[in-house]
Amino acid sequence: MKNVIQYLVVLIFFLLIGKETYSQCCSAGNPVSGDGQQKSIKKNSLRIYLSFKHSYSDQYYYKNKKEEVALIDNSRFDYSSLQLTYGINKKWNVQTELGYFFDKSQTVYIPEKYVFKGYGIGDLGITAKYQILSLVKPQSELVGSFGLKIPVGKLDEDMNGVVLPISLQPSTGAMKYNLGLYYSILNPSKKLSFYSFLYAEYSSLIQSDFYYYKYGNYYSFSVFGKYKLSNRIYTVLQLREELRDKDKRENDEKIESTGSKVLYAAPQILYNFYENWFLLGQADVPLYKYVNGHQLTNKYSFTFGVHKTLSLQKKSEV
Amino acid sequence: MKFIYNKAFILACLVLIISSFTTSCKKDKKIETVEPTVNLAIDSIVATKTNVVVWEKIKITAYTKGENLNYLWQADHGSMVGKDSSTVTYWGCYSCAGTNTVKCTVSNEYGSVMDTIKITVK
Repeated sequence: MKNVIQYLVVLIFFLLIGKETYSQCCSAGNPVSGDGQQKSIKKNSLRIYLSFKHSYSDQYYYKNKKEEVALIDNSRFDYSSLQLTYGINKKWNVQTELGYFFDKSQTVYIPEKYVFKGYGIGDLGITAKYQILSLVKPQSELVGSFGLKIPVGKLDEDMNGVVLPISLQPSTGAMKYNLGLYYSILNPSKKLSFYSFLYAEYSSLIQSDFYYYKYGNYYSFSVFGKYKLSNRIYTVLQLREELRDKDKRENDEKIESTGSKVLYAAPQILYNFYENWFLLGQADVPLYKYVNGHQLTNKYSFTFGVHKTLSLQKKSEV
Repeated sequence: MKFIYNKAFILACLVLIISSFTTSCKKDKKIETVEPTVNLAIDSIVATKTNVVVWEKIKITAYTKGENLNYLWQADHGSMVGKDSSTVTYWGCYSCAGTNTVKCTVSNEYGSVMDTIKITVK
């Protein structure tokens, strides 16, 4: 228990430091999805998670202060994704995720109102997870992961004869590589449990003849507290810090008004409505925002989802 | 009950997958790039200004030869609004500071041609 407390203190420390590191509301590519549950699943089990996320951004920031920009009104997206996780054996899981932007838009006044509207398939995520440690007492688990995001969607979506800006394209156009570390501690006799997730993502250069662009590295640190309200209802409170380095353009020149640091509170409710079926609702509310230079920032987002874990084991094997 | 949930869930997943692929996998017809001729050419691309400040709007026009022309404009940094026409309105946001390339591709039944112009945003 002492080790767990030390671990959580270190995570909270990471959440609170680093003022000069860096939020981007409207970056290209898939939004962070999933319900935060990165725990491993049993051999021959399949976890299916279908979700919908809406995000809305209308606040321009200069560093950590709001500012008015007359031209840009808002930026928003509606994104749905399907995540499949399969238990290959006791230690290894593989996870795939593919999503679709039903709407990825920006409203501007030039001075007349004009709406840029993109849509389409996002990037394909493939992640391998390995259970590094599993203890019975206290019931805890440490899972490491590494993965790829492959730009299978379009980067040349156009509207009225003009190719949309990169930030409104459904795909990032760049290969991304990520590492994750998940730790959970559960105590069945108590109603409260904790878990945390560290995540880092490195982006390669956009694969295009026309663009020379490299997204900044992305890091997130999350701590979760889960409370069992009743036999069927759970509440989760997540604190998440997202850090993004500056993007680069030609000659590896850093782009000043990119990169950010945002601290989010994400309350979540889970409802076990039938056997191993769960409904999920989550809101992401930024508590603190610091951006490099001037940037449009996220005002709020919310997610709805449903997940279920199936056992694919043949009855004779059980 | 279980059967209904399973069916509905699988159906929702399938709808997402199929709608994703049917809308995203529509292959755009590739138009061959050709040498400029009297039937298809971009004579010049002219901007009202080539040095601008953030959020300043300018007009960029492509002067062309040919009939039944389709225009496709693309900027590596910055935003543009056009109405399938030879002129677009361009501006750059804070993250677009630098020397940016605006490309115009014009096509008709003879193929396609393209030209670029540099716009510096400060």
